[in-house]
Amino acid sequence: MGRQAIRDHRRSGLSTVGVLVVMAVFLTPIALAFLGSLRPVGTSPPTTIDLYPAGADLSNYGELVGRSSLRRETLNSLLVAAISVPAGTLVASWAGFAIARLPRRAALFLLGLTLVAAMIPVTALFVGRLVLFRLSGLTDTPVPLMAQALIGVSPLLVLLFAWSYFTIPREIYDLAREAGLGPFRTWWHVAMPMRIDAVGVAAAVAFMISWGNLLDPLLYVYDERWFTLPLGLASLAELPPTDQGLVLAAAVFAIAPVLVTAFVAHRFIYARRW
Amino acid sequence: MRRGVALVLVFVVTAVGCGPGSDDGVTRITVMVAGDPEEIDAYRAVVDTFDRSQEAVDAELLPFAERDDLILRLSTSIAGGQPPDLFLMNYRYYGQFAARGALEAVEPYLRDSAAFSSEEFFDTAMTPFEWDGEQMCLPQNVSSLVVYYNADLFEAAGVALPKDGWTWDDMVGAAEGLTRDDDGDGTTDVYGLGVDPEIIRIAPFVWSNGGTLVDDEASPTGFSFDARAVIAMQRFFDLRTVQGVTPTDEEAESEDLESRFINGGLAMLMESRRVVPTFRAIDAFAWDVAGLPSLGSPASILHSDAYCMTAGSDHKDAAWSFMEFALGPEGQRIASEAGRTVPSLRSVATSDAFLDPDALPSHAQVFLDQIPRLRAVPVISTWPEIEDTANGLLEEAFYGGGQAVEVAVELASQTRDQFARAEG
Repeated sequence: MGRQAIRDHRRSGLSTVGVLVVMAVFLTPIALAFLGSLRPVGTSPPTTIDLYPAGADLSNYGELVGRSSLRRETLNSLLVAAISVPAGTLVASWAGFAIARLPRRAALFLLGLTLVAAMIPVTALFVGRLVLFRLSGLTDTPVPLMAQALIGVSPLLVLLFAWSYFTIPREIYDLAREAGLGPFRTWWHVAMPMRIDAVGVAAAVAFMISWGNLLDPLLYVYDERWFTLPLGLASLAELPPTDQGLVLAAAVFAIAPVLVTAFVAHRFIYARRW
Repeated sequence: MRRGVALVLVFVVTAVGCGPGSDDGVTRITVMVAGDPEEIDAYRAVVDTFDRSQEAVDAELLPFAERDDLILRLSTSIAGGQPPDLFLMNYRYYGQFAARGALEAVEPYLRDSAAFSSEEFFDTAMTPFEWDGEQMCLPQNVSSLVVYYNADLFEAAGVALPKDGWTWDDMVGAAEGLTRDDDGDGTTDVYGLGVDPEIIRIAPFVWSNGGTLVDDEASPTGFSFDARAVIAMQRFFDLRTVQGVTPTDEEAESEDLESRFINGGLAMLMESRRVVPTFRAIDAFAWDVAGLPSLGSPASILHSDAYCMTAGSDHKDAAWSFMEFALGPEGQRIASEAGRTVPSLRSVATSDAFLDPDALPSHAQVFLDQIPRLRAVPVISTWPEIEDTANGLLEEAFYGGGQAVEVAVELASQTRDQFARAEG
């Protein structure tokens, strides 16, 4: 085995160890949450590290499924995600494409604006957004929960798409123009298919933002029937110490879709030669 | 795919078109509350019963898990011009909204009410909800700080159970007799007492010792701990640093006091009525409740929440009709049955709805006996900030061996600006 091969082998080994360490850091809390979720309701909270609770069973998951409020909140979260993720990804993609195709000076100006938007503290927008929703007559509806789709979910997604479309060689855009394609068809037939990996990553991020969105339902929903899963989890977190198994079961239940999404996003990230 | 898109569109159209704001002749009001799931269930039962009892008003509950969430939502909705009609809040926190003119005084409604009169409520709970001489909100409970105790641990240690009229020294003696290291490994297995080092826990002992908390109870301009107050504070700190009868900082962090009590690792716990629904599930040992020990004259601190009406509500009469129900005998009885509240209406507090002989704690009467001894912290707009600052300093001193004299000076200094900004 040559020196280069030995170096490559070592590098590969180190890389594997690194991946395992990172996985351990992130998966250990999830594994502990799952084990804790097996502790039946009404059991005294543990006083020491107790990896496998006495009387462990899956009864907390049955209890969760039986809670009509949690079922409704989960359904609401899914429906909100079903609308805001594709719509938000689409808007972010359009905005990013527009920035990428503008003359350099205008593009830099808009990139700067997007960066500024990303830095505005969310608390500064609470009242303004509520006034907007109130004047639009939307506060009794779930629309405020999806409204962030109109700005591409997050300025960071717009930046991701802008950067992604910037990396497409200018010659390709020129060829599209010579073929008679307008901006929309260039985006649809050329740019977006070439950067489908960015679409996947952006959609995954949009889903995670939507799924974990606590503030919007907390601030803008006036009808409990439109409460989403994060509010349900916050409510369960107030259960007494004897019911912590149920709280952890709900946490595992809420994390599962995020894990699936992260796995899907990971496939897109690997598909792209960043 | 097309079917999926259609379903989503149906969802949006239905949501926008058939929301609770739709006009069908029924007045809809929103009631914001915060609490744990059991508490929310009790409020929901009150709201549902009210909705079933009449057809003109449809009350909708808007529940939040934490008080801070409710305050954030309330502040945003008031500033944004769409406040709820009613909300439930502790007397220590409503001042910030009253000072902004965001509340509608209930005084005129109460004066004309056929459902009840102000005399039917405990004065102790009514007074803190007066703002600028007017009854601003109406209390739904009149809880207080008491001592929960594990009777089995007392019996095993041969220590006499707490009784009415017991003193601070009695409590310290009992706590010392109950604190033990069973296996001799240097780690305490059972602590005699659990108490959070907070201003609302120390205040009753300051008052009991004849001390003062602030310079002027009606219009305070700052903390003013006199010698008696400092002595009371020092004796409170001594529980950890001298007698060692309360868990250490690390132990309190690793297992909260409520869990430690449930697990049998704490013989006594100072808490409000809040923990009763959880403790009713304990079957490993017998427990009961006693009044606070005194350092001189008996004293405790008021814990009370009230329904407040917002000035921006478009349905004040409907909101008042809900208040009449929720705070009347039937509403208070429903809320009381969950175990968490001490009713503010005298007739309900002295009925079986609260003093149910079959429900724990056996000595529920203790909560009523405390009422004449209750005092309230100042009702000013910046009190939540003051409490945050004070609690940080007190926690540091309690666990870190601080001296009460220095803490008193530091408390007065660090909260001066907060008092200066206060209205109330």
